[in-house]
Amino acid sequence: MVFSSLIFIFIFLTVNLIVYFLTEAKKRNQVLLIFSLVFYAWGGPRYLLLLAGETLVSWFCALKIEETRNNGGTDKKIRSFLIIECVVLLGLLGIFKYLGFILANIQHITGFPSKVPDIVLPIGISFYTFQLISYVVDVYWGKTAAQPAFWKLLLYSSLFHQCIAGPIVRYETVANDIDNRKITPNDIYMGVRQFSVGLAKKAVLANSCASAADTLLPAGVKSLSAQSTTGMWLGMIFYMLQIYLDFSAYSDMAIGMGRMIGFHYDKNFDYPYTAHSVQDFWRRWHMSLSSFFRDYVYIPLGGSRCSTVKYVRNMAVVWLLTGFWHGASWNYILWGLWYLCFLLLEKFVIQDRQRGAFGHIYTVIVVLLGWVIFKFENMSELCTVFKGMLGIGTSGFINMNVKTVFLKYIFFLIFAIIAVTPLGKNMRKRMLIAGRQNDKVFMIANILDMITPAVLVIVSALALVGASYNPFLYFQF
Amino acid sequence: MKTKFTKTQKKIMKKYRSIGVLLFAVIMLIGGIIGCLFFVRPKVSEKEKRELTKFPQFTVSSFLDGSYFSEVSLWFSDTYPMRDALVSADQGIKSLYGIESDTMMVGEQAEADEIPDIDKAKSSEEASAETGGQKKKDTAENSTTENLTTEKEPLENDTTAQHEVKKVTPPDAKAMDEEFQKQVQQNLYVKDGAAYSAYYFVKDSADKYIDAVNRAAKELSGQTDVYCMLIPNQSGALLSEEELSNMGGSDQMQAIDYYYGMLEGVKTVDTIRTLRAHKDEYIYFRTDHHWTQLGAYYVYENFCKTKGITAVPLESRKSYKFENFLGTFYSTLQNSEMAKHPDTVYAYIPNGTNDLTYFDEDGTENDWNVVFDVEGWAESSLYMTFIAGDRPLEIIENPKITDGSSCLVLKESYGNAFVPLLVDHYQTVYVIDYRYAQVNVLDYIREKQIKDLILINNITIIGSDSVSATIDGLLQ
Repeated sequence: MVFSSLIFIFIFLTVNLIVYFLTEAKKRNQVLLIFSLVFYAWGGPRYLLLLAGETLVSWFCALKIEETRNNGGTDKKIRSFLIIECVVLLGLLGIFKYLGFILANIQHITGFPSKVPDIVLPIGISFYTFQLISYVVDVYWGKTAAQPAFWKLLLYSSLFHQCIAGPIVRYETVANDIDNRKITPNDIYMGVRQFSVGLAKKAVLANSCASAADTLLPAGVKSLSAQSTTGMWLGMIFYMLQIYLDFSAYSDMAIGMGRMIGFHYDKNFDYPYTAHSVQDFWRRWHMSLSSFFRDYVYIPLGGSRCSTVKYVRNMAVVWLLTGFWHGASWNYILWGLWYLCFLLLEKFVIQDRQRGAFGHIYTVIVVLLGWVIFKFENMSELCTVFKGMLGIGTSGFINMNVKTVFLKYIFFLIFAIIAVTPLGKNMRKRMLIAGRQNDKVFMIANILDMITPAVLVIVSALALVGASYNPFLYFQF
Repeated sequence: MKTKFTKTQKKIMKKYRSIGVLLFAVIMLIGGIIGCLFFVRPKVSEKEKRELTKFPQFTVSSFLDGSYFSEVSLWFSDTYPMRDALVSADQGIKSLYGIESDTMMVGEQAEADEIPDIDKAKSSEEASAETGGQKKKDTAENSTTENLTTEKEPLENDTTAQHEVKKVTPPDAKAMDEEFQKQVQQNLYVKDGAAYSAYYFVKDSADKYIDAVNRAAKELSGQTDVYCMLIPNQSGALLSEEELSNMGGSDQMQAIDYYYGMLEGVKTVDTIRTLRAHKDEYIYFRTDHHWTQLGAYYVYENFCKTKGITAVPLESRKSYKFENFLGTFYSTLQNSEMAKHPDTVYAYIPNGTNDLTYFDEDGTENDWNVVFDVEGWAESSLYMTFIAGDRPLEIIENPKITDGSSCLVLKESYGNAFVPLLVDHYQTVYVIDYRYAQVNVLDYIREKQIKDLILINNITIIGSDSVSATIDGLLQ
């Protein structure tokens, strides 16, 4: 079930919230667990076993680590449980996510195996695998206590807010919330608000960006080369907006739903397109993933406090992994390397010289071109678009289709660009500040605050019904 | 300067936010309750003219792999109560996204094949005929033996033929319709509330179609005359050279000339030159991809000339006038200029008869009219006035003619406006829509001893691979 579906919003979430708040406080975790399992099973019940199995292994390893340590076991013995955890979880991730890709490449080179198995990626495996690993590692490092109750750990790993599309919530962030959470009216309001904002971001903004991007960048080399240069740039701008609005919308909804019932997840995006450098971009983009790689890969490898050669190695490892995490295809690896190049360039060459307007423009262009690599798994499509954006091999500089799309979306485009900046947030803040002294502004700010969530849900619901609009010519009466 | 909210202000803020949460909860509840009213869920969408998603059938495998639930999710949103009204509201919001200019291009540019020069194409075919000669001979021998067979054997042939037809006819007519819709509306030029679709020549499909028609003409030679009419899109008939070159795509006149030039033993009827000569008249709809009956009439005049009969003028017929027609282009584009100036459908009733019998896919026989009074029908359905829309098989018997003359029209929806004009010239008019056809056309022609086979097709539609393959299959 995706968050941006009517059945999720109006049935699943509504029923979930009603049951949750009608249940006595002690039993609310059980309610959440049951709903989470139903939610996960909705996408294919057989993978529920995988999720439960991985959780069981992590639960066992963490407890064993703690027990061994308390009994004065050797470091080696303690570590062996950590190794079991990593081998099992990363092994399963490898099989389900990467085996097909690896075999296809081996087949390409050696001709063996003759048939590459078609493995379906279990929903959310990339996210919950990392969550569970971070939990066991944190227990190993003594940063958090092991969870004695299996079902509570299962609640952590399967919680429908973040199980399938992040953010990658650390166990220590929610350990306390699982057992004692308090909800204030402000939490509920802010949660409702963030959820509604996320929903509208996805249903209205991201989906519209997607349809514009798909029109401008149709699949297939043949159709792509019929596009004009301007069309490719405009298409990629829409794609760039789409990917942020889409992804951050899911995080917003997750964080909002958590907050409504007292879970406090860390923010996952911080207006990444306003970054002034590539490094800054990665501090703001999918923060739960970059901090995972930072804490569990980069720093254990030695981070930046080491020789230059080692530093470059550490960076290379992190960025290869970051790229590969996004998908089992060469373009994602290239995408990771693309960022590695610019990060090293910033570290050693540009250093702090790219501040100001130049820094922003440079960052946006690097990120935009990065998305080209990210978007096209097919290498010849990727090359077509890259060349096309340089004006090579397109049908011309501009054509009427592009002008039409541009005019059709012109106000929307301006709005979507504003939506990826903190402008709206700052305006609300300013209004509230001004409202302290001006009663009229104060009332307007309050009324806006009051109606925003409801209006956004209505508009999103309309867009979601409208998304199935599919006029059909020859209807049989 | 006060830097903090006063206590009253905080109270007010709290109050408004609580009301905000309450409003949110109410909306969620209302949305949920409406979603549960399964008995008011629509089954069809008037607006989109399609059947909405059905509640899925439960199977263990679809349950386990999650497809059952994803179908349920789709069903839930696709058949959400009041969907047509909600979709309209959403389109209202989307119309604020930007500016709809008077002149625009909607869709994706596609790449077209080059249209070969007919003389060159012919000479190269002659060269290749040397090698393919043996094969051709074989089929020719087969067909002669078929013709010489006794009464008993055609039955066997019949079953094998039907078996073959089943193989080539796509199992799902809906899938072909979808492709068809995509093709016709792939790239639309919109100007002053009228849309024009671009045309892309596809060599493989063209050759497949040409081969099929040539084969049919050869098979039927001596018994049945084969006529072929290829109808251009409105762009090819109406737009200036300059506009056409701005649109991109292939030259429709050149394409039709190629098709016609490659046909052998087939009587071709000029379409595009005549239609272009009448381009200032109301020969195509502006909001729909079809032509008007007036457009069909001009091609019909050419057909009569080719066949050597006298055309029956439109004015001699009784007619209907249906106003406020907003067709397929409007459904796709929701263009406000179109809504302001909808089309009018003029439909002329044949003098001989207005009775028609059509057969559904399951073989059910229905009595209908050649030109049906569609007054009060949905604004998008008025083209349905002609010959009951698209049916696997339709038969029109004209009681005023008793000479045993008959024709079979093999068509898609472009033929619908044309067929009524033929009624006054034949005792029996058979109409087969190739998309839904379940009979082998050649066998049917032989069985019914039909005198004329008339192919009337839109060039974009026969440029689709699956359509040309289907026609190829029907003419085996």
